[in-house]
Amino acid sequence: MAATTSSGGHTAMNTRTRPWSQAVRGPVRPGRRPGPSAGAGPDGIPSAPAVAAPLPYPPAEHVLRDLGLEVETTPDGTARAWMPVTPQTAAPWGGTTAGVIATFVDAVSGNLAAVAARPDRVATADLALTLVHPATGPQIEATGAVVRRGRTTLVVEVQLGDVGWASATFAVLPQRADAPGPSPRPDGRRAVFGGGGRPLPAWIGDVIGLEVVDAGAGVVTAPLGAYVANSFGALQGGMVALVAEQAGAAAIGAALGSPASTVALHTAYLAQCRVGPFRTTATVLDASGASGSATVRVFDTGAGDRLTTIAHVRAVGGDGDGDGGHGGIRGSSGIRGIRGSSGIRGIRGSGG
Amino acid sequence: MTVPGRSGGRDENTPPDEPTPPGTPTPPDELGRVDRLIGLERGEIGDRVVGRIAVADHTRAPATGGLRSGVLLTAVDAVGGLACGLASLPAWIVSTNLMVVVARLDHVGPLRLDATLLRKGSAAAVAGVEVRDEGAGDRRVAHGLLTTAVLEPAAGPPPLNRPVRLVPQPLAAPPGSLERAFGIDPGTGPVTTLQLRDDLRNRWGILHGGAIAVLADVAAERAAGGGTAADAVLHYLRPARTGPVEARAVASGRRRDMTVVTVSIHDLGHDGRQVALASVSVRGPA
Repeated sequence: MAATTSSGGHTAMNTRTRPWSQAVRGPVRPGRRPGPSAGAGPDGIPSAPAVAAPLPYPPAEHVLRDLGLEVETTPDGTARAWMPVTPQTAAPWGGTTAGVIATFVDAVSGNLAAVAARPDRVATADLALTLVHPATGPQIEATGAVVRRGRTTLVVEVQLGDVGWASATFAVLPQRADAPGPSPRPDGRRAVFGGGGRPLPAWIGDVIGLEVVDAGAGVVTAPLGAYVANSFGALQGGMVALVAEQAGAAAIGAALGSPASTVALHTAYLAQCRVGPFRTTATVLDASGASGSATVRVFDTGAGDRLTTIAHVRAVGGDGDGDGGHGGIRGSSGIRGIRGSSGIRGIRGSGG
Repeated sequence: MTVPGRSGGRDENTPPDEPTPPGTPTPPDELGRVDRLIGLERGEIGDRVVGRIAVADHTRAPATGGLRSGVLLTAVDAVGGLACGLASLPAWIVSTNLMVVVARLDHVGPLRLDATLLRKGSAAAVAGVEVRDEGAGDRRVAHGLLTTAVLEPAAGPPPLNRPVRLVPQPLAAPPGSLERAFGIDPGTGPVTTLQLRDDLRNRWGILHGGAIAVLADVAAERAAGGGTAADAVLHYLRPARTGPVEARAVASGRRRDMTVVTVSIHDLGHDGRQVALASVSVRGPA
């Protein structure tokens, strides 16, 4: 159980329990060698070492590597990043599914936030994403910029070209003397996030063990494992967004009577998803014509059903209308959003 | 309109039937200046914060007949903010992020807002706000998520009589339009300007967050060339103290019948610094 950052191979971390965070992180630093692991308490929550040591994050087998993200952080406080568009991350009506784009946004903005906040640490507090065009590939390009660096919060805006727009707020966590952190230095180099990933062997939901239990009620479950963990060993923030997004799309799709693709996602992180498995519920606010909206709650069933995350999902069904929106079904993606998963759990060693 | 009531828990079919809460109203000027402009009543009922707002001529969206989303955002901010503030006493809060999904635009009204405290930490508090249409069988209209930063203002928290009741005096005369009520200059196109009148300042002397929400809404609709603002994400970045305040809107893409507009808001009297950032989805014909 590594307590590191959610960004590239790097950095020591203070593993003290953070009420905010989905991930505490530093920027991408290519080329750092993994160090020893921190200890974990009996409940699986990382315990706080007196002095944190450099830790491997993401570990060798991790979803952030396998998504193939590349990030270039520049000294002027901006970043560019790229993510390949693949059939394994597709949405029902084409493009990359919003939860995977949210993972991309979280990684890019988290990197920028970590650079801007140094020597303090940051943790994702909320993330919003609006999509206007399906990502048709071969890759999605993002440009991020810090728009506020305050004492306690930091806000990053992420432009996704003609695909959409996103923003995220990070809580600034004061550096502690007993937990020397990274001394990140933007080097302007384009680096693969974590490096050395492999193509996903199946659809992302199946890979992370996401299962649709009751589409109409927006009940999906997902386990916790090292493959999807953040630096605390909790479910990584982008993966939380993916779970919430899939739950909302499932419920909206069931209400519309057609598979639904998420086009907008608001996520408020209230507490870490520490134990698992995680279970969602969704409340459909409206579903008529071609689109619907829902609120989704993510609970940690292993932590007394604690409410960890609340999200808004807007999704569109049908086959689009060809005006440049989310139209045109792609044969590779099927109806994964509302189908039960094949239950391929821990395919990358996410043994929990 | 009566004071805020509440529905029976999570049962959406239970009508609001609670009696008028006890307590002496807090002077509206302390917290309620913008409440008055939009006709919002809010207060504590037990451990909950509830608001109620009717659809008035100047707050109605012409195309849909419902409450304009900028007003809805303002109400979500006010009701959620009161829940976060009360949970933070003796400190108080400022809004930092507001995310609202608007399911319906065809409201009958009045709308009821029920705020639930979702998280209270030392530096931040988060509230969820459920919005229902009491005039339409209590159906769901919208849901908001408000994040606030906990501060310890030098002057202390606002003086409040508990349980809090904020019932604004009716406006002396109808303001004619929402834009006029909020000091927004007439215009079209990508740039929209707000004159920072003193009655738009909050207790801390800065432009009220609700006014920023209304400005973002108006600017997004103008940039989209028409339509009705709906879902929105709003980041409050810095206080707007001087004015005029300028919203620069860019239509970043169109999705079916919706235009997504990014709005950057600046305090022209303070070196044009950015004070807020918003993304607003505008529905309807462009």
